[in-house]
Amino acid sequence: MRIRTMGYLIGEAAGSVRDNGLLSVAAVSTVAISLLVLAMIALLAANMQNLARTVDGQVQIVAYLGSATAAGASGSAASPAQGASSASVAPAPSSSADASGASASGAPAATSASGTAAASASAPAAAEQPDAALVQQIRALPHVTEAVLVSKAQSLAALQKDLGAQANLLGQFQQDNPLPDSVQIHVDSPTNVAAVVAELDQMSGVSRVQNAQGAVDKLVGFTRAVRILGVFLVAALALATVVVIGNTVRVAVWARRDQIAVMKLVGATDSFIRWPFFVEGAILGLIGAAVAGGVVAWGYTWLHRVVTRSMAFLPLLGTHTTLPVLVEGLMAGGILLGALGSAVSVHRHLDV
Amino acid sequence: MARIVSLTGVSKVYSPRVTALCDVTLQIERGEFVFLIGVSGAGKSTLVRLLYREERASSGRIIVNGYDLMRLPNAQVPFLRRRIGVVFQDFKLLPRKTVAENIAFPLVVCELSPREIRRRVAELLEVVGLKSRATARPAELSGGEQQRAALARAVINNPVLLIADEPTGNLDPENARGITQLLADINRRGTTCVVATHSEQMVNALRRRVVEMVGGRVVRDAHTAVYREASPGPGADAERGLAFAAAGAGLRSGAGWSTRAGRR
Repeated sequence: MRIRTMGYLIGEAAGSVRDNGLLSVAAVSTVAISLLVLAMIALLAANMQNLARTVDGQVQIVAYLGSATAAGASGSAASPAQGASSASVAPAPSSSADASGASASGAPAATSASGTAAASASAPAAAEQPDAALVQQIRALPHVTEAVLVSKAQSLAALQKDLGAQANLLGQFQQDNPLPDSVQIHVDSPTNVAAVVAELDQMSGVSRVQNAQGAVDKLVGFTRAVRILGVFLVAALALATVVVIGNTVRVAVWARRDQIAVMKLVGATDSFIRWPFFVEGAILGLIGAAVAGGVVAWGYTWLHRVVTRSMAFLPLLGTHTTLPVLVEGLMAGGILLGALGSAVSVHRHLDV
Repeated sequence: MARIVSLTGVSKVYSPRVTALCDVTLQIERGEFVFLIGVSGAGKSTLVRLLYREERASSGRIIVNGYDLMRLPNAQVPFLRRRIGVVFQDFKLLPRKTVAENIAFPLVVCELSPREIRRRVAELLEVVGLKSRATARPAELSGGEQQRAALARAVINNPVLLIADEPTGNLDPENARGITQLLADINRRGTTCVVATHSEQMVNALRRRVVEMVGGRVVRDAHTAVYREASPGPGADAERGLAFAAAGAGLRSGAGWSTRAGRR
């Protein structure tokens, strides 16, 4: 097809969109609403998937190191902890364990120790060995790929960070850390989480085992439900869009029947007659998509701003990564729906 | 290939009750000017519609400009039509386009360059005497002017065959004369013309070949003829016409009977 013919096609199509007036507006609105719903569902699903992945990727199992068993293991070392971070609350053995950099035994458990303050060189070896040994023991479990010791001080710092501006809520806890030490455990496959949890439950020195698997499962299930519902909703709306655009193009065909007759008479090929109607449908779809894209971009940017300000812990997908892809997708979808609608209509109503 | 239109034993049956053409055989040479005459319903319009494949014949053989129309695939029809110009009683100009745009339309459809289109449109506006009305819309033109615009559109592609179906049907005698003259001019330039009409004035003015149809059949084919055959008197002529009309009616009612019988 030649370029001037393209110009002719677009001119004809744009003229028809204008001539159709209210009907074009109705078609554009339908496209916009359909694509808006599609975009919202896509954003919701993507964010939920992201949330699930974040939760899943962060930690699979957390084993809190507890007083009773730990105390039992360390036996007589019931003295207050020497670690600077905790004065009296937590059981001694666990609190001192984060100072593994200074561990007398030289155990290779140093993975977690990086940032902790209290290097209690004077701590009794018996007091810190159990934790290091415990991490070793956990690491040795089948299916465990990684086990990292997290001190109570680290936990507090992380909590502080999550709370962001509201961190002052922690107040006195800064001095009096109530958080226990813990081990973060990664498992080779989500299906093995339950088995590892069972093993951990049996282990002495572990007071409580928590795994995010339940939450992740729920999130994944919910995401799937949103997706399925979304597919149906979007399919129904897409159908409506195709019908409305098809109807608009049908009216356009009707309005131009004389012109079509003359075109046939003077030797226009079928495709030459049909193209302006495809282009018309595509234009309607594109305008609708632009409207939907604009609304979604504006709305999501606003939502993103609100969420990052007041609910920083929610891992919302960034506007710069999502919106361009989303808007491009909407445009493509709009053009596709529009062209499809007119194809159906032209096929049924244009007798060429 | 001197022969541009060749019909052999062509029939067109719309339904068992309506036979529009019955065993028509007709040859037209390149450069000829042929009048198709006959009363309304005689089959003139059906015959010309067959020539540009607006309709397909029910049986027989039709060759137009080398195309075998009985076998021509639909996708090829546009290319047949690009070599045929057609003019109608009701002009069929596009009301939203200007006169110049209307005339240019076949060239736009054939994707010619804008420069070539402008050149040919200007030339033809001159020929049909509409130079001053180039930017007017069809509604602003008189009937005669509209038909001249339609004629310009029909010949802008330099067709080998120009078909006119009652071109002067909507025009007063003065404008009809103008259109007749234009058709003769176009024919003189080498375009074969087939004009279906019941304008006696037009036929007699040019005295060209006349093919007369009655009840879907060709009943007269005479060169340099006039509208009415030389006959003993007007009464006889009328009688003959009546007889043919009755024959046609009989044909149809007979067919009607058979379908009704079939239904029972």
